[in-house]
Amino acid sequence: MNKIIIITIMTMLIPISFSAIPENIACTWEAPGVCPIDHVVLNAHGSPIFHDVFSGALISSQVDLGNAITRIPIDGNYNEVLCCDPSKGILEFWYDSNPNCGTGYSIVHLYNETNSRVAHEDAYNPAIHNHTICVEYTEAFSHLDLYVSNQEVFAQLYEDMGYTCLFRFSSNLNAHIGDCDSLFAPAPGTPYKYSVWMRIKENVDNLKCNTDCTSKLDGRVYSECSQKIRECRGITPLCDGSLYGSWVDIDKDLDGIMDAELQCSDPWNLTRAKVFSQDLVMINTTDECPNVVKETYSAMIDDQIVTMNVFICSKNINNEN
Amino acid sequence: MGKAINNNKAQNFSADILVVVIIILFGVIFLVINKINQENEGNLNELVDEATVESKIIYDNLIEKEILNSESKVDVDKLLSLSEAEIKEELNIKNDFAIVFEKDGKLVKIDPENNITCVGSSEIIVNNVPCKEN
Repeated sequence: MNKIIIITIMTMLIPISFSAIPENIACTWEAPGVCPIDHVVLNAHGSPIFHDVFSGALISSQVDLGNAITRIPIDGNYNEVLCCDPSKGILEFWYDSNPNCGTGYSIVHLYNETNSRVAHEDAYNPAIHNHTICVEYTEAFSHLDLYVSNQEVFAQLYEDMGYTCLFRFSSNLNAHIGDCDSLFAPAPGTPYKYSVWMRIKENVDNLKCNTDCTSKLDGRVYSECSQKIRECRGITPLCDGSLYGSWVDIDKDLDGIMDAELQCSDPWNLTRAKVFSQDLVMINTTDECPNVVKETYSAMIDDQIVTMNVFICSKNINNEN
Repeated sequence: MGKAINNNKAQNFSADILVVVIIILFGVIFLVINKINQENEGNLNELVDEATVESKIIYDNLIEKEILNSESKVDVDKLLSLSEAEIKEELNIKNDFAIVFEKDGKLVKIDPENNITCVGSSEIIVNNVPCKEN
């Protein structure tokens, strides 16, 4: 009795990022009144994952900026505060009528102080959106990097480079916000398209580089080392925060799809097709291999922990029957 | 009258024997099926045990050949030159085998430029591509 065995392997996601990079901004959802005023990013309603506790449906939240002095929500239904704390320096969030935030960074724009949806920099209308959530960071030897990602592949890159996710929002205009796990539908739905990422980085003046373009502080590659070491010219910022010699995703044909990898090491331009595909593993066998036994082991490829499967074709049952 | 009573007794006796025979038959069938199942289960367990032992031997050999180092890092170039047939002969392994990597359930391409996702017996097919034999 010959038969083909099909095994589909769907291992639960175990996110593995560059955990060696210390988390330098920590963001949590708190109850109103717990978070220091300057660290309040915004108020939202619902549970931290923004699912309706009664129906289980996704309800994602609008935004309440709260009282100008206490930051306590204007609308009592807003029971979750996004609170971000830096490991060093002074991090301050505030709400401004100036969409450029003066010396700070703008994050998103709103049309009201409460029950407001948010707009991305690309789509906001100054005539309607008269509130902006701003952030500024002050410290002698470091600065703040802020990115608002509009693609999931970029969000993954920021996570790999040690950035902290603050929150996600659903579109570039009239958007709901949610925490960083927010999905358009119950799992495994797609994530909210836009995400806000921050990281504190050493100032170039303070950055001390090894000859291989890694920082003496954390041993990671920094494109800013090109300002100090001639041989480091040509390093793409995509390598920032990665280990020397590791591979990062790139969009080789500039079509918006990260379809190749670049090696973050001298000569800094070596590319290849992607090793880590998005294809689920599907195992078939020929008739000569009627029974398969799988044993798994842990291994590392390109500094990533992977599962090594050893498949053994066991032929005896078939032969005996 | 007496004959009729004797006939009834004979009929009852035959029915009793029939019931006993049927019960015994069921018992025998049950015992035979049970025995076959036990043998199949025994065979299956034996095969799984055998495969487990063989995969451990292969894993140890990968370390010995420095395809895997002490930190479990994979030397991809050495892996790509691995000969399944030679290893089977060297280690006296009778079953075919193949090595496949995955990360979070997604396929890891050992040699993405040449679309090689698996090393070992071509009887094992990964995402519609037979494993690379050397």
